[in-house]
Amino acid sequence: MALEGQDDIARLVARARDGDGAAWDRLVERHSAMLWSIARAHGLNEADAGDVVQTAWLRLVERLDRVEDAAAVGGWLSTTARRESLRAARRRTRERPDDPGDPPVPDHQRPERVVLARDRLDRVALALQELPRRCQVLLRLLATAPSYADLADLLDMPVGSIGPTRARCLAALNRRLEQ
Amino acid sequence: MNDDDLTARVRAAFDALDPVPPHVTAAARAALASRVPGAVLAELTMEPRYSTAALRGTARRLTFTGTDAVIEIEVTRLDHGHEITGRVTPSTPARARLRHLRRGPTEWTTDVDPAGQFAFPAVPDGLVSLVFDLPDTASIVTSWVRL
Repeated sequence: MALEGQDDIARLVARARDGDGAAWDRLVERHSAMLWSIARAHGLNEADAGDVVQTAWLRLVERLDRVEDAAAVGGWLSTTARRESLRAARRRTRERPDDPGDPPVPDHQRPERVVLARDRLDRVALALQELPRRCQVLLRLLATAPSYADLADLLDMPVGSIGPTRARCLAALNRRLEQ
Repeated sequence: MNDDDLTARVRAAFDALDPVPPHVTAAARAALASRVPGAVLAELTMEPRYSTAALRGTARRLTFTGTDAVIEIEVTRLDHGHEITGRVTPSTPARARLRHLRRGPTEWTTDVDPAGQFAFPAVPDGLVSLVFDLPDTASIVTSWVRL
């Protein structure tokens, strides 16, 4: 599933450190969907999730000169996004105690979503909504992460058990799609 | 359907249902410009877990620790925004710049007084980072925090 190997990521980090904006943009393209998924998996609304993603990138810029394992930057970003998401969630609970947050699979029936193609996409979205929350989150994160290693810390499971768990969740999704 | 195809469909579903907003990607690209080459980073080392900063008139204390200096700030929410007062230890003559990100980058500057103290009276909500430009051309930059 990795479109770009860890070596390539390390090279992009090294080039960004030398001020290469195109290399930085490439890092952003590769990881933004994953970081957005992480923030949304914590139930954050769009404004808070946007802050989390921006903060994760700013934290990377702060320490760009001191990145020790450039190939592991994806994992570092995901861990940072989780920490910032927890911080934002605490702040939300404090400021708006009754707000339950957004669900991991957004409600596809909202009016602005109706214009979407309704066939295949809707069936996947509906099937995802029927899965246990843990599967919804796992499948979303894995679908957006450049590599399993980027998510090992985040999912709190050994890299070796991510594959089997993913297979179980995908099988459950497939069963619902075939019904 | 094989797992890779299914994963691609999951990704397509989320891309359509809950895409990364373009302004979020744009902010990520722009983040590289916030780099201060050669600056010493002072990281956030102390922050109250349950801050009461949401309440008007209450203060939140944050501590940033660098290799040779500690920066403490107190953020107070007022009607017109946040008041930031702070101190650099050990005290050193410096120019303090407050960088602020919300819709776009903004910056305010002030002098650090001989006792190491500085203040920014009215800062709007957003992400902020302080930069201290020291007389010997070195600089200290703090981690970004959200007001």
